[in-house]
Amino acid sequence: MIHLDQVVKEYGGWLARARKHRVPALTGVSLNVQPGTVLGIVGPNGAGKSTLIRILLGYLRPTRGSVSVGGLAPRAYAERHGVAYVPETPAIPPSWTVEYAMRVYASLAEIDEPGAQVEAALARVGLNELRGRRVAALSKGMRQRLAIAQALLGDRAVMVLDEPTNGLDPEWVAELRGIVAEWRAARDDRIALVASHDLSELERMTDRVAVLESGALREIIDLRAGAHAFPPYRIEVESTPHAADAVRACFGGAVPEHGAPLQFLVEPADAADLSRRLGELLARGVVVRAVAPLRITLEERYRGSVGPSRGGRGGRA
Amino acid sequence: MITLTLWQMRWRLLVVALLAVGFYLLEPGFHLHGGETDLAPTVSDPRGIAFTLANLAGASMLILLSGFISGDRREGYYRTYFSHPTRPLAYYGVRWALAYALSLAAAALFLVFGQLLAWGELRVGVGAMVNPALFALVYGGLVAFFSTLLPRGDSLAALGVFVLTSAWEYALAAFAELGTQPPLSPAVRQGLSFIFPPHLALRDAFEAMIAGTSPLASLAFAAGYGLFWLALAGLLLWSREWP
Repeated sequence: MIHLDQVVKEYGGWLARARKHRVPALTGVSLNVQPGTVLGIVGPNGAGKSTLIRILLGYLRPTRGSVSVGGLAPRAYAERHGVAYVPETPAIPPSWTVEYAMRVYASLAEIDEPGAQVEAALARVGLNELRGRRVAALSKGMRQRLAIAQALLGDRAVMVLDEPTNGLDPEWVAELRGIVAEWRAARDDRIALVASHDLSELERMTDRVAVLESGALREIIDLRAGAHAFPPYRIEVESTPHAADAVRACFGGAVPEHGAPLQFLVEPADAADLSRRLGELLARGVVVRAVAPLRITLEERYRGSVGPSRGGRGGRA
Repeated sequence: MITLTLWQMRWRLLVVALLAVGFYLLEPGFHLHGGETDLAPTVSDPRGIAFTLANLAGASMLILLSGFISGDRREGYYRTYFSHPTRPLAYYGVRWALAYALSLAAAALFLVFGQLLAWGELRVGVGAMVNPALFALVYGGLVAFFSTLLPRGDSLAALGVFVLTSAWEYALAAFAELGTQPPLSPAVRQGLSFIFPPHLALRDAFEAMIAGTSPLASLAFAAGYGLFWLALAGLLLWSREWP
């Protein structure tokens, strides 16, 4: 559905080219996104996330390489089918009211009878009560919700969210997750791309995550792979006589964590195996303080991909 | 979309209405008293109000179209507009056409109500609308071009072109009165007359109409000039990346 082949993007016009001062933003990105996928895009500041998104919307053209969305050039696709898009900084004329803005967007979306759709979209983002309020009088989070509402107009197959949690409070961050899940569930051929620095949110929202760094695609992390494998666990026990020996006896191969002699990493085969071994441990009189699954978080994998010094949440791409 | 755009333009339309009142007060043909002789045909002939109509239509285009592309580019409004299934060329084309229609409507209302107020009767017919139609096309084309090219100040740039052209026109007239030529080579004079908006061509067309000869060549040149900038604006809009 979305196909990028060796996409290169350099900024700077003919004068910059003559002076060899062109700034590379993407340096040969190849990517395939199949229908039914929610793909996250992460990377440090200046990694090329926003450039990639603007190319996918057809606002920028690649310097080299090819891009297609649904078999069409990105601009042609957007003009024909539309893309549900929430920009990084929602820019909506401040003098417009919420309702007027939605009517304009509905008109651009070629919706003949927009009343019901506008109402449904505004209700979904909790702005129905503020229909008459000017955009200038909305908080940052409300403006973000209005941008989300306009993206929900029309029946689109592609959604692009650029830092969608910007300005949203925790309640609306969770709502956004629900909105994306509902949108995705309504049609099984839909694709959503989510660029964000919020790695924990991406982990909840997406299936795969493309890691960009310095304009290159470093890795695609498949968050579904291994999701069903039974993870290793960390077990912490009270300091009682022979507690450590008992853990080792019940969980063959238990490894004490460095610097924490009463915390062990264990690898049970499945939930039944874990329960049985824990039962044995309790029967030996050991007091268990904590049992927690160990999963490699997206943040850990991301840091492994781009390095600790460049990772993190600060700033924007 | 048209209704929504009209609502968006409501304050600008109010400015156009106020401007029309100003033009009514300034139009010399509406305030002639008996006994005034030796007047230029643009003043003495009732058809001379075509020039005021042209200025009103041109100014209306500047007001209605100010920042219509450059503002969207600068502020980033286009990002949400054109993620919906809308062609930028069609969107801005409709806005331009609407501004053009409103400018001509303003000129037509001025033509009818101005005459009725000043003279109590209609002395000039629809022929007076040729000049405003071309002037609006010329300045609408220039604003569209500047709006695709510049990040801001498109209408001011077009106004600057108008002022320069008028200055050039007055300079030519002054030299003609003195019986000399401007201290420029004929090629440069021709070049400047070709680059500047065709005020002189419209004046020639008006005088040809008064004299009863065909003004078609002058009118075609003026229309071609406006269409050239409009087409260039369309080409730029189609080919330029969005920031």
